[in-house]
Amino acid sequence: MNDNSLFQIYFDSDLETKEQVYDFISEIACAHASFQQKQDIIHQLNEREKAGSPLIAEHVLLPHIESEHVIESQIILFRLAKPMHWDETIEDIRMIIAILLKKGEEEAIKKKMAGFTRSLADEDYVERLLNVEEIEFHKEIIKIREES
Amino acid sequence: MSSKDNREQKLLLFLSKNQDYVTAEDLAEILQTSKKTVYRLIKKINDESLDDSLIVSEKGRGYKLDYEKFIHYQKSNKKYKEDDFSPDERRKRIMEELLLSSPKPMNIHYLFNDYYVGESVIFKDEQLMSEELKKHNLILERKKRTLAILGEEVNIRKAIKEIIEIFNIIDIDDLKSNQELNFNKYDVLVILDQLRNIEKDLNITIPYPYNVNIFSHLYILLSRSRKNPAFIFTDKVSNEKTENMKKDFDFYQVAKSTIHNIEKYLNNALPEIEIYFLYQYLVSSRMQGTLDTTSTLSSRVIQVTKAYINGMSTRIGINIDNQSIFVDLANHIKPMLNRLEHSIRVKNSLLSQIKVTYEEIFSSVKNVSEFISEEFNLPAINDDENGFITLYFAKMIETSQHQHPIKTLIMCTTGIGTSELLKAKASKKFPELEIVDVVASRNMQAYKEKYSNIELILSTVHIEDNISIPYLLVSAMFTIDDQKRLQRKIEEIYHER
Repeated sequence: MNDNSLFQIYFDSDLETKEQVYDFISEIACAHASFQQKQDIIHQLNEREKAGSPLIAEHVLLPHIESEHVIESQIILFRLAKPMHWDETIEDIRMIIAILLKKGEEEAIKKKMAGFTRSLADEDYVERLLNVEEIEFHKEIIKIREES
Repeated sequence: MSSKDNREQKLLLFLSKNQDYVTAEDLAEILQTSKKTVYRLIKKINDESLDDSLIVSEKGRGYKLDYEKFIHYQKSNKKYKEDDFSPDERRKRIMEELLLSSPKPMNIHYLFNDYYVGESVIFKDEQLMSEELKKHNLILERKKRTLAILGEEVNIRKAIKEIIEIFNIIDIDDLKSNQELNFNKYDVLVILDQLRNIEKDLNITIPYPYNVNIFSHLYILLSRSRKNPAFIFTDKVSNEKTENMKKDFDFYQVAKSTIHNIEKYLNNALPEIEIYFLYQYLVSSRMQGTLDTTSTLSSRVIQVTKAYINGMSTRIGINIDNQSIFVDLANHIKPMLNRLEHSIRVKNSLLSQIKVTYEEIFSSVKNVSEFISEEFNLPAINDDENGFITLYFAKMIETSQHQHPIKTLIMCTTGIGTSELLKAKASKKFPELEIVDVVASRNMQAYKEKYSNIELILSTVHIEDNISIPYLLVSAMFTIDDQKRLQRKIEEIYHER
């Protein structure tokens, strides 16, 4: 159900560290690209974090970058199987929402993605995403996808 | 209220206003007392609070109010202590009894029986009550072993209203369910019904505190008439005043039918003058609805309103060009002028809080009021009224109606990630921001040219370039701390304008 969609959902993801998460994201961002390009993505993600914390709510991270290496713009959602220790300051992470934006992406797609991030301002919505079962989780995402 | 109670309240109010710790020195200065007294007051407040300490302290930082507990405390503190009356309460209750039955004399033994006090206390109470009543132009008469209050009906009613504290209720719906208030339940329901009828007939709503004011007028009318069914007032209304009232057709009709309904309920005829009394209250109340427009304002109302707005704008140094405050305030001034004319006092239960919270605005309003009552030849405008007016200006300042919105740019790395999220959160909490665009940080320079009139940049990422525009880094969580910092930044920007 994730085909042709902006959204990729990984429920019960068994990723355990920040490094694993960023590695995984870089794989999705540019699947067939060179090692160097993937390293670039990871570097960018790390730089973004240095500039400002990606924490958007308790237990939720929102790393996001814009890069020419990204082949297709995407929103990747991880609901973690186990709470993750992210770094010295950020702990107990249960959901990661990564936003990858292709450089020079068309406005319509940007608008869709922005619509989704806006919905994250609704605390109840985030709360549901953190707690619902897998089927419900998909439904919640579909709902937003259709609205925006 | 004794000065000690007053200090306690002042201390609590001051702490509630401050989010951070306050030192004992500062508190002593504000209360104009010693540090020792401050310690004692805090200990007393904490000892008396139901569960844990209301005021928390930290070494080296001072004192802070546990706000959640404070709200709870305020609620529970209202509970009536049944058997334990302070001397002040005792006198009030006796005066209440005497006022309601005035001019009938009552036996002293009967009046003081419940309080177990001796002759000397009774003698002292008489003196104090007599002084209190003098303020309302009433006389406390002692004859043989009885006391009676003598004076004009209008003054008696006013005194009742001031003395009986249960009229300090804020929520009129509370009357139906609140047991502590000890009202006659049937009377309450009948009066509330009358209030609804008045609102329906005039097609308006009467907001707080005017609804409570009319309620208490009618409640006192019922109580008085019942205790003194055959009593005929000595008060007279001039023909001119009666004629003027009859010209005000809608209000007159409503007053007439309300009094008529009450006569039916009492099963007893009421004197004509009651219609005039009620009429006075109606025209002195603010009403919201169809009447709430500028078209019904007299030139005098407009002049007084303008005088307030001009006076306040020079005193607090802001530019008030907004039409909405004018309409709002004018619709308050209109019944206020009627209140001054009929010398009807609306009790402002929030007065002490208003004074502490909006100290500066309040004292400015007071100044302007003094000037206005001289200029327009009005009776003195009391603090209750000044408190109400303060709220209009405070509201305007707090909601920044007098300021243009701040043109704001929101920024993150992509322009669609945390920045969009921040936009949704910030625009909900800070209506004073006008969010012009949401952008990616790398395009900074380009946007600076595109939006040359930007006043604030709100960003979730650190900006390294040197920029001349006020800029604030906040987290995407938009925590309380972020919100506080943004609030300060907004004030800075307002200040520099």
